[in-house]
Amino acid sequence: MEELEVRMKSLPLRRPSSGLDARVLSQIPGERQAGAKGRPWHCRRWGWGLAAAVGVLLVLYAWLSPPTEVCVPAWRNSSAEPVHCVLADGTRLRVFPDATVAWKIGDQTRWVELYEGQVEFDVAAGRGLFAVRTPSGRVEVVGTRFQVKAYRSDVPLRNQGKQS
Amino acid sequence: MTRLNGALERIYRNHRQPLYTCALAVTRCPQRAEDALQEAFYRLFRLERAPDNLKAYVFRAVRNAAVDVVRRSPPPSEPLSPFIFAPDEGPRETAEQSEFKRRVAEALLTLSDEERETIVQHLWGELRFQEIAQLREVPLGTVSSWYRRGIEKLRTRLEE
Repeated sequence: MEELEVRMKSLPLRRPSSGLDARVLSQIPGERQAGAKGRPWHCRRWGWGLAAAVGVLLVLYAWLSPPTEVCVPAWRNSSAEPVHCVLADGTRLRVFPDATVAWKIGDQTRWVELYEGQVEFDVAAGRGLFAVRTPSGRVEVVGTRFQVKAYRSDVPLRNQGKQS
Repeated sequence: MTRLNGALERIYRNHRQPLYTCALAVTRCPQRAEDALQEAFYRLFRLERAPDNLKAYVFRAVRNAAVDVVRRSPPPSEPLSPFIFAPDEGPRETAEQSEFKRRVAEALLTLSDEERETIVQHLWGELRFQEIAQLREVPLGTVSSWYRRGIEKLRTRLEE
């Protein structure tokens, strides 16, 4: 490598924002913990009865284990441009400057908490209800595209409805 | 987490800066470079099988996502200053370093897309020519000639 290349290589690079890790890593789809599946079975004395009991326990474990959830704590878009986020269920968010949001995407629940500001949603359909909570009210949808604004001067919502 | 997603997470953590720099070279906008990274990893975390060279595959996915982002909304007409480099290093940076950085950034933006991307991928993206050839799907000789030609143009512009 020649002198010019070495000198260029030493130049300090622009760094990504601190929120990038949360945006990227929150997209890893969660998985249930592996159960006792695959363990060697040495004791033949109890035969199929015990095997069935283990099977029942495994089914109960899978049924009772907590649902997979991806949580992102409150995060504020401090940049001057809207930020696009893709949630674990495929829902797309366009977070406008100065908006503060948190979200939790799981098997049973999907919600976004909008503390302040404006966010545009493109909700992935087919995964049940999607709730947006703001200080002044709550919106629940199944799969649609919409915008929510929450500012301190807003009055609380009186009617709540569902939109598909 | 699957083994593949664990490997992807490690690649992201170890190569976040080069991946971001390579995306920035395409989008020329810090925000869009981050969007590209996020979109690429959204798709990568849903892969069913691990590709042969995962690192090169990740760089290719990020580059493709950056190209998609640019297709959807072209880069701003105002050039990003100083392009892929940190805007201001404060008192640690001498006036000479700052001037060199500004001139390299300007010179890089005058190169063709192929030359600029190859130089960024090799010098700051920590990719070997063989890996760049793989991710761009071109012969190795093409990559090395893009790089050589680009460096020669940079040298001429910086000496002017």
